[in-house]
Amino acid sequence: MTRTVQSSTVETASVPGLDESASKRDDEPHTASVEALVRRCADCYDGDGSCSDENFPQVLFLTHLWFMTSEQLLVLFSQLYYTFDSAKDDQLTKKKCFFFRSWLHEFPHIFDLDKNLVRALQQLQSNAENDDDVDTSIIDLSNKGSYKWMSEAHLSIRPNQVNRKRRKVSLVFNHLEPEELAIHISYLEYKCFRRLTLSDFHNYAVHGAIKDNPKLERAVVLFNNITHWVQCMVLGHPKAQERAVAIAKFVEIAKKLHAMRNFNTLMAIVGALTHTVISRMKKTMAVLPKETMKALEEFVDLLDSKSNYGAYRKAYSDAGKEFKIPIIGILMKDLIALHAALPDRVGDGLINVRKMIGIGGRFQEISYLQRTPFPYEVNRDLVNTLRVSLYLYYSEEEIYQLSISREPRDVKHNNAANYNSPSKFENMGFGEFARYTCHLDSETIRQHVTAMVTSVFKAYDQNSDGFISEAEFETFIRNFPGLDSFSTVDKDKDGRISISEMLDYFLKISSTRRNEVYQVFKHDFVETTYFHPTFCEECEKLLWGLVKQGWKCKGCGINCHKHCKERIVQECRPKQQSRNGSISSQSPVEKNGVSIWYSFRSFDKKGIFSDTISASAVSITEDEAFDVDL
Amino acid sequence: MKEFKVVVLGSGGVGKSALTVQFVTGTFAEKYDPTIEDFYRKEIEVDNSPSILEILDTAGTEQFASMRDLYIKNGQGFILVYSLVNAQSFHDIRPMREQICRLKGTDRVPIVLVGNKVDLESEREVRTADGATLANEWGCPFLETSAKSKRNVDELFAEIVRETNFMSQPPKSGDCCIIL
Repeated sequence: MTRTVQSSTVETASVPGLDESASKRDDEPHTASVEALVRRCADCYDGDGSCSDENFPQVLFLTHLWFMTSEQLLVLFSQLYYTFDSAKDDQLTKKKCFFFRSWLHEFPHIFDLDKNLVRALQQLQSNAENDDDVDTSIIDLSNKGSYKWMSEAHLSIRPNQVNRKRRKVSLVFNHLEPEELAIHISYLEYKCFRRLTLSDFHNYAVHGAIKDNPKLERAVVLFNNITHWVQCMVLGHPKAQERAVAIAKFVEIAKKLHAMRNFNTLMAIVGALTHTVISRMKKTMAVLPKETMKALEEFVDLLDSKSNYGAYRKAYSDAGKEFKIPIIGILMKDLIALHAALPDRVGDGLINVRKMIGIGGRFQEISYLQRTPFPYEVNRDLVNTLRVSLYLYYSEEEIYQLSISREPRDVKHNNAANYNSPSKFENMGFGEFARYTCHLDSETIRQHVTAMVTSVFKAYDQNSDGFISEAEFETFIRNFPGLDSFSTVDKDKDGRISISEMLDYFLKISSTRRNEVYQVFKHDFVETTYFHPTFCEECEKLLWGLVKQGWKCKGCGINCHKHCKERIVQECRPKQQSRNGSISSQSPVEKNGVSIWYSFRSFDKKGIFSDTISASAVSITEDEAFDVDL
Repeated sequence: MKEFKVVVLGSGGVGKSALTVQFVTGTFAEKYDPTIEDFYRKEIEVDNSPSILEILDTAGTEQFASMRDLYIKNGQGFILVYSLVNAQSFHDIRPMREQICRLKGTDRVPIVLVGNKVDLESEREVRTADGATLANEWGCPFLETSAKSKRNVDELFAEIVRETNFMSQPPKSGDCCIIL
């Protein structure tokens, strides 16, 4: 197969860099053969290794995966290498070497991930050894760039030995300044963002699924967990006034995030606070300070999808080269749209240069942002604590049910609209979302939990005896809305918490919490003969016939038709006091045909909902779960 | 001129962007930049009356829980897309409508159900009848489209305008489905 270099295409293409205005010129050709691009790229380097136009090789390096494998790119280069030796271009061999060098230097991870590429490079190197003109050491793998910018040091965690004694950092979120929380959440977010590789983005844009894309999945999970965590931190308070205070605090955090230009977390938090589960609570909203409301509305405008997220795009580009974190969802949306709008190749297999430049521009920006140092000082103990508190997973349905129990639905309104009947919502939230709420392996969980517990004891165990007091534990545990209070964790009941008790507890909930499906409230139906007219719980029609008219649950006693049995969404709660003749206005969810009931149900007197299911939890009446403000 | 905010929803990879891009750019896709402000605005004439569509393509943001609520609140009409070569994407559709209805607090939400990728007939996993049955249950229009072959793309967006107009009128009695 002979590949001819269409250098004429190159000359006219004068492939532009990222100058947007240049790339939008209508007279400019938008296509080029791969060979032309490769040649154009080599020409950016001078014989002495300097680069006249760093932009173009960078765009090619960043985007080549869209059009070819790395190995193919390398092969194209090596072909160029030999084709042109005969053309007596002394500089060319050197140019190509420098091209490889900068590839190795700037994008070492490509070489780490792609074995075929490494093999091809080594092949090239050994072929070139006989050539006196070429310094093969330039293209040696040992020249590969380092990941220094990826290292922790680059993230500016400074434990600050001197200050630690003087300034004790609280690990209780409620005691922290909004700014401190904003910085530490941003730190976690940034760590997650900078791990994303360009091939992750490429994969997602092409396949539209985050399956088999663990880093992106991690970013999505973090975003959603922040959302859910914020909602739980608000809903964890039993009184409307307290919830309003919690909302106000998160709005303050949002302000800081905005100032830090961490748009991604800003989106997660604003999305959380304007979500139905919060906004539906009229009593809470009524006591929210006006200025909080106003600030929140401003953020909603900023993040509005109107005009293709115009307001956000403006704010984002106004931030210039400063540290910032883009909204990852919108970044992916743009990449997918670019991918859908522009074909990879046009005409006779020519590369769509416009697409390459469009995507290259975004990739350059991502790379740049990922290498920007994190500009704030971070306290590791707080990071450890925050990290664990963010991965306690709550489903959207659980949070919705919690919201309903805090401020029950307006029953009258419902009857009129005849809409919100529980049976209509079998499985809220997108199925896809549920499938991807993924998860860390148990070893990582163990590491994170251990780090957190160590941090907690460092902060609170003043006399270093390996115990913390009940009072200290109770304040700390408020970071985790939904978790148990002291008595459950203090297994040996000695009135204090040891390191191992705390470790065991968090490991247990971290590994089981998210996967638990509580089947204890499953109905146990038996075919039954009724002696009085009886109505079906599900369809409310008469159970007809003389004998064996329907099925009765042995546990809670509800009755239904045989064919309605599977549709019952009410959980089995034997001692439940019914209101208005119905079992409950609340709706547990039916998942996979199994009626489940979430552990959230029981609230202790502090309003912290308990994670344990016990017989007593069953007997709790709805009133106890309601807002104590009622 | 009347303006409609339309949200295109569906699982990842069903072709939401392809449909949207096909509609807003027609055949001149290579000339446009999907990140500019006006990219998703397009004038459309339906039944002799012109209106402007502002389309929100949710591709890429499907997984981000709290973004969903925001754009559902903003949307007036919803295009629910599944891929007819992917049965799972069809199953994902139902909870999406439920979430929309819950947020809007009513069943009367302008929705068009769309089975995309009709060009891949040989790989079909969802029958036309399955889509039609679901649409019938919801009382909404149903179309099978192909962004690739441009089939039914303009019709789809015309249909959501009709549906939005229709829903904005007060419901007639006997309009609702009766399920027996």
